[in-house]
Amino acid sequence: MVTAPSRRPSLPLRLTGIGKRFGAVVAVGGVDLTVEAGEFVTLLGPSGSGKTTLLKVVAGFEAPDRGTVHIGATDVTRMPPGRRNIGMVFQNYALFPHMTVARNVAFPLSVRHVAREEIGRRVAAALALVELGGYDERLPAQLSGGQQQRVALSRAVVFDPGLQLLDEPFGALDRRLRQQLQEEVRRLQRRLGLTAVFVTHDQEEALLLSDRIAVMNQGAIEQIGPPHEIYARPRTVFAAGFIGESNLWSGPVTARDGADVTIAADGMNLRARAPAVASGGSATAMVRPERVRLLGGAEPADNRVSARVEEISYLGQTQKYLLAAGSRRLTAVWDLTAAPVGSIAVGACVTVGWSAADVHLIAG
Amino acid sequence: MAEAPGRRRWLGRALAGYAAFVLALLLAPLLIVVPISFSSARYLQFPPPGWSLRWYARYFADPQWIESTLVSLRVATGTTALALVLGTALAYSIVRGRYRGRRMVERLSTGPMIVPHIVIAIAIYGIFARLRLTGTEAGLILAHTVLAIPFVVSVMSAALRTVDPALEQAAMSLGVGRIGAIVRVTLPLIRPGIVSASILAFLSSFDEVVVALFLSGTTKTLPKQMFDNILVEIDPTIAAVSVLQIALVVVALAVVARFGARTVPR
Amino acid sequence: MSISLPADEPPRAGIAARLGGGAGPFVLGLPALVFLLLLFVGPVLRLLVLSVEGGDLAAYEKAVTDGLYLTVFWETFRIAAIVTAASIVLGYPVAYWLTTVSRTTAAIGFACILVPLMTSVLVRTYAWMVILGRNGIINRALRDWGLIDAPLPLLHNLPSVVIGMTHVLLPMFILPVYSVMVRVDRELLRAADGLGASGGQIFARVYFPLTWPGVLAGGTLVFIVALGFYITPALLGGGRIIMIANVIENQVQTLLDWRFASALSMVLLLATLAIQAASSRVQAPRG
Repeated sequence: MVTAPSRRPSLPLRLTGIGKRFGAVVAVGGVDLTVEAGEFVTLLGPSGSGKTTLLKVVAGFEAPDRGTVHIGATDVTRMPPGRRNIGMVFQNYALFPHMTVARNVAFPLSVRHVAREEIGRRVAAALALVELGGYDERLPAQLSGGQQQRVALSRAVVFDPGLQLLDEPFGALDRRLRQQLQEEVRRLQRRLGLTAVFVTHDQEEALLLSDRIAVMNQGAIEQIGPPHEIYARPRTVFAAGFIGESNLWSGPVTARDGADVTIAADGMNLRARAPAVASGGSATAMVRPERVRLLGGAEPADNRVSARVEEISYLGQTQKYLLAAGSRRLTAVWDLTAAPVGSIAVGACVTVGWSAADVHLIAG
Repeated sequence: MAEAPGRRRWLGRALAGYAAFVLALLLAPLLIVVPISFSSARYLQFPPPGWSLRWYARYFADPQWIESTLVSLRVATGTTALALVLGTALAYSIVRGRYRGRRMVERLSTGPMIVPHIVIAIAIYGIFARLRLTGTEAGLILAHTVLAIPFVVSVMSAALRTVDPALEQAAMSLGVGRIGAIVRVTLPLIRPGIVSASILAFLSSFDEVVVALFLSGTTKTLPKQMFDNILVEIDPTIAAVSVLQIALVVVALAVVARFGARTVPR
Repeated sequence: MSISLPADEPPRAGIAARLGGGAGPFVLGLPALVFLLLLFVGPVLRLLVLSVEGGDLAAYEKAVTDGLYLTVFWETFRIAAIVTAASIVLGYPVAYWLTTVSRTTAAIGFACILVPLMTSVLVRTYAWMVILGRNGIINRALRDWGLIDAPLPLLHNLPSVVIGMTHVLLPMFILPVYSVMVRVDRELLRAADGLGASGGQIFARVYFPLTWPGVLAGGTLVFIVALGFYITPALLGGGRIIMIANVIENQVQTLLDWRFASALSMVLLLATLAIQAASSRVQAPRG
């Protein structure tokens, strides 16, 4: 059993008003973000959303036009990358092809003039941490993609960085390896108590790994919060659409009835539980596919729709149903083990519904 | 209908024959110099009436030839060092930089390859005459470096484009500055390019005549010495010097083939 | 008096930080940039200034109206054109052949091209003097075989200069053409063959258009380098064949007429740049 090496504590990261433009293109427009010590925060967004630029600003590869970057109490905004004490993991591993595994991992220590015996000890410990003991003398080209990324991981932690940055580190790996490495990264991060900022466009990965997710769009953070919150209560239409599948309808809020409101959207009157939303404005209603229930004939529901099954796709234990009700489309995901579901075929007419509490309203 | 295979084969042979003829034309003049350099005759004679090393002996015994060879070796070495440092840094700037005017810088770097050497020669001569740099090895090194930079930049740019910028970023994030990243990571990875660029730069200076005609003064380079001799008389000593130069080229190309970057795409 | 630094200044943040960021690469290019500006751009611009010294264009007027210099310009262009044409005729098939042969054969072929390319122009020109001279190899052989009584004047004429220059420049043509040819997709040729095109049609309609950018690049290179040639005409032309570079050298070294030499240089430079620009224009739309 390998014990975690004693290490300096991780540091919090604080970004204040970070702005960066390339010519006329605003890559990042005024981002504030605080990552607590030991926290794992994901920057999630499509390409061009500014997440990679933001990471490069933190790493020191891009100088921001405005704003400051603090790691712990130190303002590192103008500090070169090598002095920021950041462990970074790159998409294509970025292992030095002309150095052995051991020399790759030793690199950050030898440039810090650590004593030779200590380098040997710490490299061995760091490689053991990713279960690559005995691979010291191999060259990167002699390793598999997964092994290379594990070497890169151990190189990024061996020098006790205050902060770890991961730039789409699983992008080049196949699905199975990706899952293994995701677990490894999370395990390592928890065990060493690393402050980590992780960049990805893969929402599943973000939901799986993060303490908090920052959803980025057009150079700004649209929403930040724990995965369950981002998933259940997205604050913007973009966040709702980008994370998980969702049924979205927009329209004016026409009536209020106690805690519920009615939204006239797409020719339907949707009931939603939203004590705080005022009548008269407009809103977008979101219903996650797994919240859409298959209704028996007389079963009561706040919202009912009759629809035809257009398409069925198999997802494993669940199936996804694409339903058409007039011109409206909606998606439902049902568990195959639930009684009546298995017998539904394409072309069948079904009645579906959902409760007002399962409708999440996004203002505007 | 495709053509008859017989005709195809005939065409193929004709092509091979033609190519062999042209390549022979390219090589033959260089090969002809070899027997002449070993001739025992006092004047040009082909085929030589007998064999001797007298022309090589004369080359090695003549202080003018030896001195000019040493001047050329020193100038070429200095040029290689200076052009390699300046050109590699410039290539790095062009390949990795994102600043405005990068295209202009790139064009400027290839300029000395396009501007006729006679123009560069008199342009530099005009300045160096005022600075009293004519007739000095330093002046020759500076002028030859202008001519050598384009070779270094083009070879090193190609080499640098094969190195993933993420490797440098990784090195920088792990604790070194940009220079440290270049020295520890980039340069070791482009060593073949450095070999090729050095040899190109060295030969470009070692072979250079036009600039040397103006700048040499009394500090004659080997090509300048050869040029002066050819104008006076064609004695076989020049053949001996030529063979030595050809041998240098063959060795240099062998080094490039073994350790250098691919100069020709394949 | 002592100067105290602000305490919160991060250590060595100035140049080091900028080197780490996006401006770093520019800074690295700066020494070479300054070097080229001082020793290449500056001196050439100085020639431009010299050429209009006295505030008039008299030197240029002389260059483009005096029959003597017009003849030299015409001769220079004519030689460059002949050398370029000869390089195309000799080099194109060789470049193609190199793409069809085995690696070993190609390596031998490249050796035959690269060794002359890297060998001093002086050595190569000297070799042609040995071959074509009054007592050169050819005259010697012809006399020994009893075909001639007096040596033929093979040197100091247009053909000898053209032969010498073509020998020097041919490798510079073959390499760019070859590099375009190796990228041509063989499947295209096979497809054309399968569609029933004859060998001639495949060449004219498919292969030549595809390799034309290489011919243009190589041809342009040969032409502009030929325009500025000095050594080969000086040695093989023997004073009878004079190219523009020889005139420039003479003006500087013998006549010390810097103004006129500068004007001639600017005309030569302008011609070179114009051809270069025209060539890249032609090339651009073809991608």
